[in-house]
Amino acid sequence: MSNRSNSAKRSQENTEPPQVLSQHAEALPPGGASRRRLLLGAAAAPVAVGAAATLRSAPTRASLQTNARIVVVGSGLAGLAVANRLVRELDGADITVVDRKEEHNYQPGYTLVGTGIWPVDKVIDRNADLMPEGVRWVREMVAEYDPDHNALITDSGKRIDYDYLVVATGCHLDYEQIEGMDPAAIGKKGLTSVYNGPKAVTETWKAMDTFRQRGGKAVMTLPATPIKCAGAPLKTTFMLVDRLRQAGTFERSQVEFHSALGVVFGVPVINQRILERWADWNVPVHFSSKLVAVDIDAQRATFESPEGERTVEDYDFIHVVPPMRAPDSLFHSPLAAQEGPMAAGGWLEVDRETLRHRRYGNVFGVGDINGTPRGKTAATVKQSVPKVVANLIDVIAGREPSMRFDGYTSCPMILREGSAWLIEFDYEGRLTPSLPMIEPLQDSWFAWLMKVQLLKPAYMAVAKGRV
Amino acid sequence: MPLYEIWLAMNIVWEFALANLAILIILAAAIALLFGAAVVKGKPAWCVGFKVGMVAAVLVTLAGFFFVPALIDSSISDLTYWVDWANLFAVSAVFGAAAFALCWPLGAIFAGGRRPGGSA
Repeated sequence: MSNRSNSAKRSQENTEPPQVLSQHAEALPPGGASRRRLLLGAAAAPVAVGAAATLRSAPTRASLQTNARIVVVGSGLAGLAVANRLVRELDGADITVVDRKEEHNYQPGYTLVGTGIWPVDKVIDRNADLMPEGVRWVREMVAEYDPDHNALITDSGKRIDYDYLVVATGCHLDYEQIEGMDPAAIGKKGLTSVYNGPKAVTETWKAMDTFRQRGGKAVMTLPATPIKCAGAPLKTTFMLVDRLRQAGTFERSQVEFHSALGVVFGVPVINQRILERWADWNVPVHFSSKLVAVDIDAQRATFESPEGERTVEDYDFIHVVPPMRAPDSLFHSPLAAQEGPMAAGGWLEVDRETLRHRRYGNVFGVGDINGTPRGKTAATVKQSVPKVVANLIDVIAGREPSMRFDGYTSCPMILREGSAWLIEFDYEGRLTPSLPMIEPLQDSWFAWLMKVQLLKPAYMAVAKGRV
Repeated sequence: MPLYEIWLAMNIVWEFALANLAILIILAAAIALLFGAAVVKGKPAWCVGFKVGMVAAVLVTLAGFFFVPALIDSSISDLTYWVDWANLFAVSAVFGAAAFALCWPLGAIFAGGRRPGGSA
């Protein structure tokens, strides 16, 4: 933290918007790959044809003519969704996406792969198939942000100037904070983690499958930092118990959960229900117990209390959830939160409703990188991207941002094979089901169906900028 | 249901269809072939075939209550409230509709006559 930039604050009024040429209604430019796939699939099924007719006609809307240079950093779900929408909704804008990653990973599927529900190929796609035509794709990573001069520097030294910046980098998995932890060793000696990409989740399932055959002691963890998909550590625990039961080894096993916080989930009613269920199953929870070290070969984990007292646990199986923070380039930039609860992680300092940077008015954030109270999930991206794009267009047009984000997020909490909760909530932790008939805390096959079959199609539609 | 949810549901259906395009193309081709065969090879009994298709649709929809959960690593015992049952019925009905589309021309072929001079 000490070497973080303390560059002078820049007022929003200092932003010099590029020329807005005109705003008019017209048919959108061709949708590139998406349009071709729509046409290709039109013969597939009657229901899909019906949908296609609407899908193809819906995006016609007023577009803004502008010569603005817009840079989107990141090509995960949020970056792609923003880029696809900007291409559609702006006419003449110079849009650049900066990210080296060629492979696109459906991260909400990691828990499914890591617990043996899905094969790994279901979480692997290609960014090239999702990148809109008409954008410049710079296959490099950002090394430095210079928001005072509206520029960024890539890791090859290339300088990219912008008028508007959208930061959608996702977050950094800070396994380094755990002494002895080696992400390359995931899968060995009972060491697992469902966060570190397709290979790690594949290895996680192999380790879980091996563990469930003989049973033993499992240690599940939760760090103190904000994390993406805060439900994943809990789903993994639920599924581990289910796998042990299926194998008939649960009775001779011990599963315990260590939370570095005072809760296991940030929404009180959900937290309470989970704890009740785990109490019934004899899954003890250790609060304020932070994983600080792991001895992989000895299969021994060290936990620390807020008072600094350390305890050591032997294990046969451990699920490591890494602390998370902003990637280095952002962490050390003036864009990072300089004070408050988000400063420690270097999260992007945005207004939680407009998702516009608090000090740099031509910068917006979307997705996991945002220093907002809740919601590092795909569901948050789904709900916030349209608002970010609308607000960015407002700013380009010389208006104040008009859209407000309420912090919506969602967590299909897998309880066992065949059952889940479909939980949706906002910044305040209020349950906000999209459909009134949904009972958020009802064990539900429909929620399971959503998780294993329907959410990836929804995700793909978000990435293509349609919903 | 709010418009956004309808739009989202349509997109889910569309993307699901794209992800299962090969199966859907094979199904559509089979249906087209059967209808073509019914028209070309004889005097199809469309009304009888329709009834056969409806019976098949009902049977497959009912069977769907058992095989659809199994398709997604679950069982009928996992259904707990009416939203689960309504969705299972909807998914099963899609399979029923496919069965109808396949069995209508099949029934029409087998119940219908042959063209004069047609081979046995």
